[in-house]
Amino acid sequence: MSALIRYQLALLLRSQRWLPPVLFFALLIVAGVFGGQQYGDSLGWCAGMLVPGAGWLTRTVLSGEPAAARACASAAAGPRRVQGAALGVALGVGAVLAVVAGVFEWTMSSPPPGVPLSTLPLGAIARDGGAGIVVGLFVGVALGAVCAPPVLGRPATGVLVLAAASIVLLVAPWSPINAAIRGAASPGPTVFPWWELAAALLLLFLCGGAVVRSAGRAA
Amino acid sequence: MRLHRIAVRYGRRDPWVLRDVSLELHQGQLLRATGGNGGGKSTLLRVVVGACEPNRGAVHERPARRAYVPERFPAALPFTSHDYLCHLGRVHGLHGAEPARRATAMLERLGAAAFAGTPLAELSKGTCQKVAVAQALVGDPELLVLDEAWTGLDQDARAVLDQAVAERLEQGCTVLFVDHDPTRLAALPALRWHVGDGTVRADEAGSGTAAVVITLTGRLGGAKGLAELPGVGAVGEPAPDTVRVTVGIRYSDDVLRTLLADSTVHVEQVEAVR
Repeated sequence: MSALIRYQLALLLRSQRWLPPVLFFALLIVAGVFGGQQYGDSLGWCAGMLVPGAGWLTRTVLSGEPAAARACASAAAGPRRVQGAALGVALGVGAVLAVVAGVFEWTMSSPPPGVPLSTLPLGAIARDGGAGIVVGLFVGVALGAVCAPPVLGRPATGVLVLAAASIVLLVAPWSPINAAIRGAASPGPTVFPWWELAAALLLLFLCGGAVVRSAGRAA
Repeated sequence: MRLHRIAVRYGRRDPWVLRDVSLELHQGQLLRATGGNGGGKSTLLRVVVGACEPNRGAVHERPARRAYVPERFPAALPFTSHDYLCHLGRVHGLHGAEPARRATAMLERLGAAAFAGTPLAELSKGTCQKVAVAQALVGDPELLVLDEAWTGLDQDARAVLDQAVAERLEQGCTVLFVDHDPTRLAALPALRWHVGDGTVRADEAGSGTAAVVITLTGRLGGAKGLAELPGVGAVGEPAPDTVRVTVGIRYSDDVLRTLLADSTVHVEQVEAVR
């Protein structure tokens, strides 16, 4: 499995296909700073932007290998393991992006107007906001996985569904990422997003499992 | 290894490419798949090697070390030949310095050592095909599946691949291949799979003599148009006004009839190739 992960990671990094989704995500994060963000609020923004960011990145990783090369690797290791390795690479690179973006947002944040920094529960804000970022990462990777072949074969369909589903998940009040953002940005004391985290993990397991199971299916 | 009631189609509304196919493969066996274009040969090959999951049915006792050479190998990979072979060597289960050593040896054997450090995107089609062949052979496969792997290779590399297949067979590797040249690996006893209309028919008869070589003179236009006849593999003009045609054994009578219908043609020799 480590050989497959190494291969998929090299395939992503050396192909420069990672650039568009990473630049897009960086742009969203930087754009958020111009809103003059506060602690908590900023981590919620980071969590939210991970949905389209990590989603696009995951789609890129899963669709990056030419079909014939995928067939060669699949013959050697089995299509499900190849797909699993690609999904693992997407999750790993997404996690790196999430950490970098989270730290960046934190350093650019300021306390709410009129509130001295010393009175803010910074530890709790960081913990709950960080958990929110994990929710965003899981939801993004799960979404990107189902928007890539073999589930959604056509590039146009995949990208459009990814964009539309990102927006729906961000604004719908029932969605775990929406709840996590609201929790992180609440003016009062923040709450740890327990059910949101559990729901995002379940979503990742369901979508990831479906994508791995469908690998190698004639399509 | 067994294929049990395999069925494959590429979409819910598409027709079945393979329907209810059950086959057996034995260790050390050479199998040749034949059939028309779009008949499902490539799909069958991918199912056997495990690159494609059938919609129905199952494959039992597939060997652990498997390798596949696709019809067209993509140049759109961001690696050099050597780097790609090292990655695939590790995927095939090699460790430490072994993948790099074998990658170098394999490229050398196929006459592509000079291109070890060349990015795949800059390789010619033939050299790219050598890399595709090399990735399949680095891992000492127990099941080797070749989809027109010889196409695009130069004469020397074709001979090397022929030899490598013979070596793998001796080691007990099962080899399944498709090639448009009916004389390909004709010297080795092979079981034939006729693929078409969604079914596969195994045919042991005709495994001895695979093709005939017809030498003729006097044909107006030389070898022109002969390659399009059904069953014709290689067509060559070894001397002026002399044409040599290699025909699959099942089609040799039809081709001879067609040739002799032309009154200017003189058939010099008909020779069976084993």
